[in-house]
Amino acid sequence: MNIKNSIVCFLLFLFCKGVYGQQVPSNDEKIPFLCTFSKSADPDWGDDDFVQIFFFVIPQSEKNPVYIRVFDPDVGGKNDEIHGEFNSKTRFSIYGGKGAISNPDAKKNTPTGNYKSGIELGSKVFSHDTAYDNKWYTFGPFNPVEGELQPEFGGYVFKMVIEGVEGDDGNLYRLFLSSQPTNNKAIEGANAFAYEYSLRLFDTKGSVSHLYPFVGPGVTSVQIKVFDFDDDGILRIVSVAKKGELAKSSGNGNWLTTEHKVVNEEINTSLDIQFIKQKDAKNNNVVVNVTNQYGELMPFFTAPIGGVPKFKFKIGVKAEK
Amino acid sequence: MLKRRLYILLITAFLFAGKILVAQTYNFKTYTEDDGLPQSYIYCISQNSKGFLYLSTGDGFCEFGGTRFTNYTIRDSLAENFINTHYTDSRGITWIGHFQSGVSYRKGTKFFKLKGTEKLETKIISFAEDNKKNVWYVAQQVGIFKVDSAFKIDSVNTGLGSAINSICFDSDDNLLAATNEGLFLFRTDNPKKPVKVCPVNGLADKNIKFIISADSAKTVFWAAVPGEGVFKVQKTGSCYQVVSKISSALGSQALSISALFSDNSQNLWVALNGEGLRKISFSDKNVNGSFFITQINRQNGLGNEYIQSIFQDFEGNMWFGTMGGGLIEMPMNKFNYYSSRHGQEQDNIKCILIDSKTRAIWLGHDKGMSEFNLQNSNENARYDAANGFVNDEVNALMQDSTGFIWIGTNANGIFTFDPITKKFENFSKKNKLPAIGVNSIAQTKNGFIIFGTTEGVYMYQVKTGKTTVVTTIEGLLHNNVQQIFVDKQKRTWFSSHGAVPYYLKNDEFTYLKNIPAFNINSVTQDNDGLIWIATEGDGVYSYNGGEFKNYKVDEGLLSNFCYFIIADKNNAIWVGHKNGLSKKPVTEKIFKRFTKADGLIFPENNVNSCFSDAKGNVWFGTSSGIVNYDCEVNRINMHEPRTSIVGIRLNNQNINQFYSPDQEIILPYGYYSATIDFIGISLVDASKVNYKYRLLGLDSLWRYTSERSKEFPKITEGTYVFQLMACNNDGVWNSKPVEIEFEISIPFYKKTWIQVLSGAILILLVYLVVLWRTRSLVRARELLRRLVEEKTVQLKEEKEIVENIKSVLEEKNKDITDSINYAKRIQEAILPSQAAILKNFPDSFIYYRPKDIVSGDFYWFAEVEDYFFIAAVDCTGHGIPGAFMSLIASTLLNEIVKNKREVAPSQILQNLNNGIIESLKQNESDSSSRDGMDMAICRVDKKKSKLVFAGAARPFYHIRNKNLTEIKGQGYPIGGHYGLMNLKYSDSEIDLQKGDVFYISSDGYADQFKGGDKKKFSTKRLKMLLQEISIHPMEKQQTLLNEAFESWRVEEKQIDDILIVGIRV
Repeated sequence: MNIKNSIVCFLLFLFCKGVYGQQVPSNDEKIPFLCTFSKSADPDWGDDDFVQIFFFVIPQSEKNPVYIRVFDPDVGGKNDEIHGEFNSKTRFSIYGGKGAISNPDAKKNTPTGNYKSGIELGSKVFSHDTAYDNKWYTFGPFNPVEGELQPEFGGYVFKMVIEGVEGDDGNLYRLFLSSQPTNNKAIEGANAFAYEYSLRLFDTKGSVSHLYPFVGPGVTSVQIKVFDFDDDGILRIVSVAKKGELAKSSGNGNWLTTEHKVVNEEINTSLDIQFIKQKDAKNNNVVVNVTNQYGELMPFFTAPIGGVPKFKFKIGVKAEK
Repeated sequence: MLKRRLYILLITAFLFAGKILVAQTYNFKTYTEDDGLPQSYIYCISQNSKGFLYLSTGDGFCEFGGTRFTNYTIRDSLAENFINTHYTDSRGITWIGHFQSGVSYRKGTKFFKLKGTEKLETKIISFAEDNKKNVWYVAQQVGIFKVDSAFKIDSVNTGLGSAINSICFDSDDNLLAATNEGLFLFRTDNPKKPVKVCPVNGLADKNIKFIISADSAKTVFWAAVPGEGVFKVQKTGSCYQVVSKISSALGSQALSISALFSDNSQNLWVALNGEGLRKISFSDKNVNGSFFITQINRQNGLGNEYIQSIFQDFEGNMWFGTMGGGLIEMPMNKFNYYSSRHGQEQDNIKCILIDSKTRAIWLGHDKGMSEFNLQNSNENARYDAANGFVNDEVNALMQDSTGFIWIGTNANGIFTFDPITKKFENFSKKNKLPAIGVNSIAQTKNGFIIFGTTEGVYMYQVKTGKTTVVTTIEGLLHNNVQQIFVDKQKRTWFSSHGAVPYYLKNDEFTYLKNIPAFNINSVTQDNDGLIWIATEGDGVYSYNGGEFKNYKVDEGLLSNFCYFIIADKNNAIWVGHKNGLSKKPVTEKIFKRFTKADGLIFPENNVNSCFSDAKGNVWFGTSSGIVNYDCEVNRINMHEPRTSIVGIRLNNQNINQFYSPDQEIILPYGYYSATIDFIGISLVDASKVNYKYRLLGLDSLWRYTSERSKEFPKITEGTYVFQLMACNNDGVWNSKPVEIEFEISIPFYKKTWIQVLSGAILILLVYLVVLWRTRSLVRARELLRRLVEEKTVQLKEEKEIVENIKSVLEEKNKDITDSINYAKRIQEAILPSQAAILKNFPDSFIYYRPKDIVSGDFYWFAEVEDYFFIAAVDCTGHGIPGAFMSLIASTLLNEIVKNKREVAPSQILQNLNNGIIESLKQNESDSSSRDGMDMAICRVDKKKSKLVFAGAARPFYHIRNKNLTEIKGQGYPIGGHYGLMNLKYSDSEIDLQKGDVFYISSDGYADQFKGGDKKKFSTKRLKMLLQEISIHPMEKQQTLLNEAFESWRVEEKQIDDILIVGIRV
């Protein structure tokens, strides 16, 4: 990790204090589900690589066991996207220890190299199973020290890799980093983040989903890459300095990149990337990642660092109604 | 229709709500960071040969001896603090598998990093040891490695593509590898490249998380497959195959198995992640046949249901390592506990009844009664007002010989219950009895059901249906009867407060005598027929039919307030108290206590809430549930503690050193303080481990302590052996002591070579001294010889002189002697002839014994007219001076008596006195003469038979018929002493009778000293002698006097002249 990234992470640590970002997607994100398709699926259905990687940060002071819970981990029944019949399998794996996040392959937007770095702490393959359909499954307990200690992130980092290992169906699920095995109980000071988000959007027109990449020091511009937005709506960027800057939305099965300049006020704050549906459309799954001017991926925190960004109106400027 | 549905729903809801899970409760003990654990995540547990538990934690390798946790970390040379697993091999080396830093090992007390494993950035998940003492380990998602006895590591190429989760070896040294895709068997002839024999049939493609041996023979194995269950795998032909599976019986759909363990009794323990444990007990030791599963979870008191590791120690205690919940101990239970664990009224058990046929347990509690089934840990049914019974305390339950259950309530009288039809009947109401409180119910052999109530005893005769009431009017000592007990002699005992023990037999009450009244709560009888009585405040009494024996707190009883008393199958007596139990085994003389501190988790008993079942096991009702003591299970911890000496701290002014037991300890000479640290590990109850020790070389007596170290403050040279034994909570001692030997060297001057050298030097010195002395002596002898020669010459010359002098002296002496002898003749010439005396007094003697040749003593005799005068005279001095005086005196006496015819003895003495004074000119002023004499004179008139005596300082002895009469003379002598003229002397006249004997004498005999002694013969002894010999003839008397004198003086010289004159008339 270079110095800039270290500084970014340190700031993340500072800003993360007092947040409760263990629900993935979070309430602030207004995303119905995360989405991972199995490897035989067509990328046009909304998943470019059939792998989703999420990181969870546990404060170093935490001594109690932690649990990573998955809602509706099976592929079938409710919520999930069927193609033909439910014949898919999804593997959820938890990693900790050295390399879980410090390995560069773990922070790529493509699952290449040793992206399953670290020590496997638990793994389970789910197929179509009513026992887990529309229900929570709990991984753990985990000893917090089983994560990779990353002081710059503020504690021990666990990694969850979700892979569609068999079939072509889409697995829609949610995650929760919990202090309890059977309830979703947030851990004070913990957070969750990803460098690339595979998500399901709401079906209805007018719905808005949010992603909150953090803009660290030295960032002068960001590139927002969106895959398979299907031209269902518009992408808008809101920040402390931007009231609503439009970005390009991608079509079906392709990536589209939009670059946005970063102004000084936006440094050390989160951006709010909004997906605004402009028509009713079912099963729209998109993949999003954000890089800085160097092409380095920027993390999306489920609990936006510094809070949900609000445009700050300048004195003398009349606010729009 | 709706009504019917609602009704069904309500019934269902009721039945569901009515079911209470009555779980067995275990006495779990949890150790957390507050107790010293470095972390509450325990990944692996084992026990070393010394009894220490080894714990793998996320923050170090931890050692536990029962009281204290000792943690080892990277500071102790571990590769990493996170320990995922460990294994102690047959050589005693403990292999420590880290989370992401390879392997460390512990040899002795030191830790080492296993070189070559540092770069293994994955966790070590399994260890196993083959018959060649190679240790194999699995690095997650990397593969298997083998370490030989020289610590050389080889990567083992299994050729397996899938991840290996667990390994173990079978009895033939074949490797069983549990993988994500099945269980595989390998031959390990070539350890580097094992040959895959086969996949195990029935487990193909299954994710096998654990493989463990099910027996010590390593022929049967358990394989855990998350999501499916546990498979039993057994060798068939050249390969293994699944022979059975335990799945749905584990009771979980998920079956997320987190640990698997086979204990010493071949029970299989399965940890289900988040669901606690399942203990699977098999009907035979080969884990065949039927099995029974016990659930252990929060319902049983398990504090954490995420069990990561399971272990059984050498004493049989189970240990569970949890994820975040610390270390949980499940000690060997002395009791079984059952309760709903909800603190419900149903847990306050007032009475117990166990159906001898169905084994159903009936419990009376605050709100009715319940039926409890041990097999399924369920309350089968609860009975109260809702189903035909009452909402009342049930104080008494009794099953009669027909199987009916009799129920005594607190305020609603007596009920009966048919356990088959489940129907109640209000017996009191039916028989028009008052609804009174019933404390106890018993059945007699002669067909009575007896109820002990608060209002007397009700006796129901089954045959006639008639009920008789017995109260104090009929002979009860108190109407409130606490308990009724029918003994083997068909006596019905009644327990009441303020009463003596008493019973009813053949319609007659018998009140025991010689014992005061007290508050009796309960009576029982043991197998030997002894009656036991529990009192409130006075302890327990036993009664053998004649005598009472009292047991109180001093005899071990927990309290003198006893709630119940009961005997078990082994004839042990159990007594219930408010806060525990007391037990007196038949072989013991005192009671043993069980309280909360002893692990009794339901200590608060209820009065007379106890039951002895058909097997003789005892049950106790408490405020928290029921407690059972199973007599068939050996509850005594027979395992000796694992005792070891930790080390010895020796210090003095210069040395302050800790030595471990495997070191040779030889210290330089000095005075040391030795502190020996030791430990005896018995994990059942570490606080009750006691020790006895002795330090041979200092003390051979065993001494006792509960401390874990002993200081010997001042010890010096010698060889010492410290011996130690420990005992466990049940007093079982080590059969052999452990010991440590150390030596404090002797000082150099006490060493043999120095002592030999010193001896030699000493001998040399002595030799030299002797030599020097000899030479000196030779010189001295020569000098002396010369001196002697000189002196000899000198002596010869002096001798000649002396001899010349001697010859002169001899010549002079001869002349003198001749002169004296001549003088003697002269003196003898003047002495009267003894013949003249004998003529007149034929029976007489004169014992005359001069000291020298001549004498100062003399006798004098004269015959004048009809008078015979006899006198004994003792002149002053002896020898020649005396002789001169005797001549003067004799001359004067002759002059006075014979010439002047003076016949009065007193006058004779007066004249003699005057004559002496004049002769010796003693009346002259310049006279220096003091000479004189003592004298006794007698005048005998034979015709008249009269005797007149006069004495000057001499007495007269007259003996008649052995009676001695003494006449003392005047107190002064004649002449000399005073130089006074005309001194008066008196006469004493005696009438003589024939045979009378009289004696006069000088003082020479009486004054003679005894031989060897300076004691005088004395006048007293002389008088006794005379008295004694007076019967003999006078001649014989003289002989006897002489013999007595000689025997008195022996070698002593005669000191004075001796004269005794004796005459028989």
